[in-house]
Amino acid sequence: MMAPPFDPGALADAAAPLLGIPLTAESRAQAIVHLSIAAQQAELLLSAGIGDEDEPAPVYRP
Amino acid sequence: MTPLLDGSAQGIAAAVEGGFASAVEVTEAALGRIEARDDAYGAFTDIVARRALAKAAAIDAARARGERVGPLAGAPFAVKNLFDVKGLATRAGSKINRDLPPAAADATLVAKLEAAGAVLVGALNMGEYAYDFTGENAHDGPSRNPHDLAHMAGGSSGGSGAAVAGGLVPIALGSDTNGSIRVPSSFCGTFGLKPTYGRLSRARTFPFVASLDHLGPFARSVTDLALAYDAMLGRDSDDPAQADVAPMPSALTLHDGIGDLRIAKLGGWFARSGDPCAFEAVDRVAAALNATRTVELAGAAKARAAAYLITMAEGAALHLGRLRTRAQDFDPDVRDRLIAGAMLPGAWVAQAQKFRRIFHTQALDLFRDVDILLAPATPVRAPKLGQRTFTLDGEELLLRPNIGLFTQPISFIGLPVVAVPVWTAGERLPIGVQVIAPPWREDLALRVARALERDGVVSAPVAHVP
Repeated sequence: MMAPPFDPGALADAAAPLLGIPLTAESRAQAIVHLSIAAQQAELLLSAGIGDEDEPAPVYRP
Repeated sequence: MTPLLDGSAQGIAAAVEGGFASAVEVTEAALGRIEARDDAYGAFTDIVARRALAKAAAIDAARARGERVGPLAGAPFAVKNLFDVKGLATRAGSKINRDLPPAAADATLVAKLEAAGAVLVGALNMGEYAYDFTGENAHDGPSRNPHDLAHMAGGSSGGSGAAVAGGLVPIALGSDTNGSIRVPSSFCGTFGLKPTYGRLSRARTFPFVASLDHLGPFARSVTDLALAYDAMLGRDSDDPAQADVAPMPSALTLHDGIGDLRIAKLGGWFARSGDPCAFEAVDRVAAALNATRTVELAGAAKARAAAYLITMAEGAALHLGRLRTRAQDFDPDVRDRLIAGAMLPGAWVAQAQKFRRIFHTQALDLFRDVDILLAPATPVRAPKLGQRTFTLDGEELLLRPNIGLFTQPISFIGLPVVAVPVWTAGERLPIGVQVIAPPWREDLALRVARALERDGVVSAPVAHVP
């Protein structure tokens, strides 16, 4: 199933009150810019074919 | 005293050791030079004159007693203001941290440099909370590029680059999460070492991104860089993130030349999206090293993307409480990136950490066939202060998030790098090249940098007095 289009404005509006972060109109606009850049980076990253068994880099050693 | 201050830490130490200058005389001269020049550079945020003079007097007294005074005896140094300095609040470039109590003890690396005889003279300007490549600071004003004051020093260790290039100190310490030592080194024309991730202690420094934070030195000579690095080696039980790897001092092999090292340029991601001057600098360094091969790190674009996402998320997690309660006290440019980072889907960050291991494996495979990789440090020379965008490959991009295009994939997997400055006739500003070695082989990167310096291919002159 195709992922729905990424909507940074909806994410910002939903997440800010949940995170308890006050969001001015100026901050909202800039956060949307940065979320959009992040989404582009994530799209590139997720195209890498990362496997289920691939271990993440940091391994906790008790 | 001018020739000593314009020279190297090694030269100062030799003069102090030999009785040609006292540590107090050198320290007084350095403090006077900072007083005279730093209004133009904006490098320092704190001066610790009393402490410095007391340390210098102790060195002179030790020498008078016939004791060894250390390989950096009397050499002034300064540290990015995210290093704890006993008695100062560790501001980390922020307004908020000024409310913290004064640090109770020095950062481990400060103590190690002082144990080698160096003299701390102050703390240095930086981009807020190290989330910056420009060297601009909303609270303290910008660090300025000593080679052209209208231009950026680079960040986030902007004060470190400016202080060394401006001749205020021969050695400075900075931090590098995504390029914050290598970018100001490139813009200011200094040598900078980002060691292997986990090599040097991070104890008692203010963090940014635990997965990616490194600390390291700036200097105007490779020998000074190596002296500072060697002095800071060693296991520190105060840093749980430090790797359990034996120290490998660089001094013994520093002057060995390139010998039969296999050296190659990085192509692909590292050969596009930059001004021609960035690639010409790599070509000049490669030609001097007889490096004719070009190799690929195929996952570099994805590595940069992964580093970008980890930085956003971990940086936001660090500052979430402050974003909730003191959002108005942040630099807006930093705050809004952190706010976005707090909202990132966790799946993106988890996948980024998985890709870190995949890319690390790719790099280790490449290092079976190559000893040293060369790549640009920055896509452009230092932009003008206040500049918000630049154009790469015909596309206008935000400047702050994109200056680290070439540094981020490398620090993502913690490889050691020496940034070396390349100058072009007719240009006031330099540009840096990354000399990249396999994990734990700082000695190789320093050795290559020293060979380039010896042959006059790279250099780090003191800027003309403003």
